Amino acid sequence: MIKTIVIDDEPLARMIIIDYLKQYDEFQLVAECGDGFQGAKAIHQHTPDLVFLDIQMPKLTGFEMLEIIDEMPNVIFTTAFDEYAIKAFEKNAIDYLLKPISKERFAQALNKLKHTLPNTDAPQQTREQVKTIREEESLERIVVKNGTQIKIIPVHQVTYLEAYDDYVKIHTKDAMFLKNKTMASFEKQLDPKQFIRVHRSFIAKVDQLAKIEPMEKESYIATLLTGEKINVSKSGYARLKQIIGL
Amino acid sequence: MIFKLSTKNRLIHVSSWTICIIYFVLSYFLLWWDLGSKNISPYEPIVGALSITACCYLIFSTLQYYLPRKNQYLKITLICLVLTLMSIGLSIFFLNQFFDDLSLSHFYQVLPHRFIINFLLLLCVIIINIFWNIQEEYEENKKRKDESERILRDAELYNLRQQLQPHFLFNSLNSIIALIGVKPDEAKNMTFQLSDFLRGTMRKDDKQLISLKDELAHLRLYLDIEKVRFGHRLSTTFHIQEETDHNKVPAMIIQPVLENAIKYGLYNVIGDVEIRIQIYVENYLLFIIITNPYDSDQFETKRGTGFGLSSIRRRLFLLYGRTDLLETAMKNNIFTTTLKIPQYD
Repeated sequence: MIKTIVIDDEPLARMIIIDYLKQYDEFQLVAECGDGFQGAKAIHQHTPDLVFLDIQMPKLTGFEMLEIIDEMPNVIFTTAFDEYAIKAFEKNAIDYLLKPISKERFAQALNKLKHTLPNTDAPQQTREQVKTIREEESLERIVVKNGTQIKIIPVHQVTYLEAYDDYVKIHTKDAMFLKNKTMASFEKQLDPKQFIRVHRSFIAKVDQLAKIEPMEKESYIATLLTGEKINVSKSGYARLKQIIGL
Repeated sequence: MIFKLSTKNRLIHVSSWTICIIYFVLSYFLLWWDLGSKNISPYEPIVGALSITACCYLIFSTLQYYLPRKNQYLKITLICLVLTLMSIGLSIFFLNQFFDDLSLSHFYQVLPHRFIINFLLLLCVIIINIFWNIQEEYEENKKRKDESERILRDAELYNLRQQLQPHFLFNSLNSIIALIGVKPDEAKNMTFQLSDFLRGTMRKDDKQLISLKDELAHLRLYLDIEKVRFGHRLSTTFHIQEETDHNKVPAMIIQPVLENAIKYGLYNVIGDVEIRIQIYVENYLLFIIITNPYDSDQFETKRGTGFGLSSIRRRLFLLYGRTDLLETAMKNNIFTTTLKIPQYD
């Protein structure tokens, strides 16, 4: 049996998928969810083999939801119209269904899935592909998982980012969160006018900088409005100079 | 250029020949004043007048293609000086060539005066011409600016619509397909609603004023479709003052505001959502107040775009010349948009 979850914020959109799915005996619907939070919870609980996932959903988009789940299932995206995502899908091999969804197209997607099912790397590939899709969008909020809690941090609340082994520490005025992501991908996604990679281990937010002082030869130290201090390398200093016109 | 008698060209001809005649009459009169009725030749004033007219034409035709920049007074004076010398040179040449010594002797008698008068006259012509051209250019620029603003506005509006419409359309079609199997009647009904709504959207020219009644019927269609899509999650309340049916509103003003309310209030919020619409008239203003819940995280990230209402504010400004017709307020996770439409009749 292939355990399946359907996640979409529109009841009728879920209904149509469930209806189509009934014709295939090997698929078993284990949950149906109306938003990303429920979706993440259901995936954690059921560890499904397949998820039908809408991209545009309130609060947590389909992509954001995938970022916070530990065990990546096979995903078939469903979307009505999302130019960027569609472009990205065409480039990559993730399967996606455009709404309105036809029975034939649905059957094709399931066929494709049956071929990829023995391939255990498929979900991992999906994860990579979602990552590249996301990198082309600009980031407005960061979704992190804090234990079982899902936290959404609007980008403007971030004061700076710090590398921490395989994670990135996201600092806000009064808290710190960990996210499993690379500094490079943050650098790529965040608005380059606001966020500057000032050091191998630090991305600073321009409007949070209070002062910058030379520390030793060819290295500087920046003090933030919050009083915290971060290192600035020679090349980071050059980038800063360029952006804020020191 | 001469054949095309535009207002401007006509004026150039008239003024040039007026100058010519006046110049002739004055110089003749002055000669007569100086020398008495005997011994004067009419040729000298005629040649003088014709040469000044030739210079006027030269100025008009040159300045049509060349507009001096600011602070080029010296250049203008120099041009004027050269033209003055030219007009005098022309006079000398023709008098020498074709007429008697008498005229030439007149000419040398009044040469210094003539020089000063020609100079001042030509300077006047040049300055008037420059002012004229500046004015003309200004008007042309203004026209172009208006035009480009209009295009920009249309584009803005188009963009705003594009963001929502395809999404709305495809999702609605998907819902219809889902309904066909289980509730064919509802599916039929929704297809009609959707086509009526789309027809209404396309027919509307955004300069047109339409009655509030029609606009409300259109908006209800939209909300009904969204209710089918989102089921019980969406509820709407209308509070509409009686006798407002015949009030007029510009097409495509309320709909984008409502779409906005749906976008932030329904698409981006989890759980049940109530959209309220309140309409009343006060002080010759039609108030349309739309409230929707919003998600505070969402709001903070979207603050820069002002919830996408800037193009509506701009349109209201272009229609009524007022900036206070669209107001927004946020309180307890409720976003309120207040639209005011002036009612003149």
